[in-house]
Amino acid sequence: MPLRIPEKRRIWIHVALLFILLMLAWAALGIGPTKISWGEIGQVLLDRMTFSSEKIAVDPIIWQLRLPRIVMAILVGAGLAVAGALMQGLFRNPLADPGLIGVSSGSAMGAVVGIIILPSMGLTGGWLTFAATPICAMAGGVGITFLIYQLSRVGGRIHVASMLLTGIAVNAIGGALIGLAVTKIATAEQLQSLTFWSLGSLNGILWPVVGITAIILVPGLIASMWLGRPLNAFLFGELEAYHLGVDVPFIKRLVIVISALMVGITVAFTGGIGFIGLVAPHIIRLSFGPDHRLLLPACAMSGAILLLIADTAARTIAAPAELQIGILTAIIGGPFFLMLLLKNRKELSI
Amino acid sequence: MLCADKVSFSYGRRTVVDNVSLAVEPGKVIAILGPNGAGKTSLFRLLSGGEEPEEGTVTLDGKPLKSFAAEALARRRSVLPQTSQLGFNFTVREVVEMGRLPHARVDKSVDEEAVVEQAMAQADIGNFAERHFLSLSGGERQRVHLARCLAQVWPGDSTPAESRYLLLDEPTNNLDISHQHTCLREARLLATKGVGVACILHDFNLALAYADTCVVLFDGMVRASGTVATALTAEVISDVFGVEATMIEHEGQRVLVTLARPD
Repeated sequence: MPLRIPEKRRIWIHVALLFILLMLAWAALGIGPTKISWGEIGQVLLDRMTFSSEKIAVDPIIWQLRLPRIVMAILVGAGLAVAGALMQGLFRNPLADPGLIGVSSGSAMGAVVGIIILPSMGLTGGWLTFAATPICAMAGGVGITFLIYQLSRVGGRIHVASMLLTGIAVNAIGGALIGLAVTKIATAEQLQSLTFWSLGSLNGILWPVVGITAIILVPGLIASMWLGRPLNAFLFGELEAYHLGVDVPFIKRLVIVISALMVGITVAFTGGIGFIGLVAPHIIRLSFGPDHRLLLPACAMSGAILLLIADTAARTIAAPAELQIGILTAIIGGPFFLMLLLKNRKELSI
Repeated sequence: MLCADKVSFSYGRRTVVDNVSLAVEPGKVIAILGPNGAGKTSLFRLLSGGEEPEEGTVTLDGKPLKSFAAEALARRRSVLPQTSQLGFNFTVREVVEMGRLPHARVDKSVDEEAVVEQAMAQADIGNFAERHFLSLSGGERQRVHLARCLAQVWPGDSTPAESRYLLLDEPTNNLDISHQHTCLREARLLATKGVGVACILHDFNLALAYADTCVVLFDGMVRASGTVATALTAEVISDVFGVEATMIEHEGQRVLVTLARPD
């Protein structure tokens, strides 16, 4: 049974999670082919913060390679986990994971369209070089989410089987189109490999990409924290939420747009990393109950923690080779999904 | 006053509410009766603002319902639905606290915890406040939702000039007979504190015992309306439900009895 923490003491859950996250990030900076001591990490960060002109030898490894990647893992983990929690609130079902219901595939399709089709139409160069892929990915994500929500809503209720089956269809179509694009249409320089879009990777992330991601994710995460109360009411059903004073159409659109934008931007740069949006909210719900006012911020941190651990493992387990991060998240997330599915069997009448 | 004036509503070609007028008055309990599919719940959707009537208007204190923002409306009326689809494991207390949602940022002087506590006591669920909602039986869940609605329209806070309304759609569903009476006594008690209560009921005798006025719907139309004494007669019941009914009096209380019809 979940531990119910009184509202006034919930702040300590957040403090504890934040502490764990920062400790892990610090530790992850030291882990890699070149072992770096905690003291050296501190020295590098101190030099950078004081804009010191003297830098120690390991500075480039920390500042140019590991830190951007770690910050990205934290951002993407938080974004995916909160997007998952938002969608589960919207769909009133703990199985609504952005990867499973097709939002990630929709974003990936958008990204591939942006990479292949826009240049062929002569739309290239200038700001489009950087912005085209994420914008197309986010547009794809938002479009697909609206579609899935409409398709799985039957008479004011969410039909769980429709939701999951729509996801299967979108994933299948997305996989096929991306596969076709990657192998037949695009040149190698244009597109990442097929496994990037299906399993994701944080390999080679540099500061500019982290910056662009943060421009979308940070406001998205902040806005999400404001949605706790209305999403709690949403769990009773749309009509009930209206009776409780929630502006249902507005909140619905807001949740869809915010969550899909967050998924879209992460997919554009790190591919389809699955199951974080399922596992992180579920761990928090199991531990502290379903109240979104606690769930959303706690999810952001637990998602960041999970992805940071997964990414550190991905770049060290098979070093010097890279393991696809999606392999690791799926190994943990797959059984989680099965467990949830078994718990929800009664609702899944097809 | 919460008023429906000649409202009509249809699903596709089927007209489910046909030219119905009724008024939920502060301090009064109005019962809505009728056979299955007579349009009772659809009428409730119009009264609560969940749907807009195709013809006619629903007004609150003379202003059309749609001119109210969802939150402003929620501070003044709450709705107990027939069924609820809550599938997440909140505790009973957390569900009842949800009723205070529209009031949260309005009046800081209200002791929210005390309101929740009292609402739970009134609905007789105080003894399992910390249990998980999904572990409860159907009747217990119904009482939790009742407590949530009571908390939402709790009188005595914010501006007393604003009348409040409680809409109950078959609140006695799944309840044992003792809790059916408790439920309607609470509704009655709220009415004496100035809340207007509208209540869909299937039991004529609960209506006779607790309601001031009633509306009997049949096929989307009003078949009888007025005070319960004048509108709820054996003739109307026989006519609308197609069963034989007779009125008997016991210690000053009128009781409607339906009789088995010999084939």
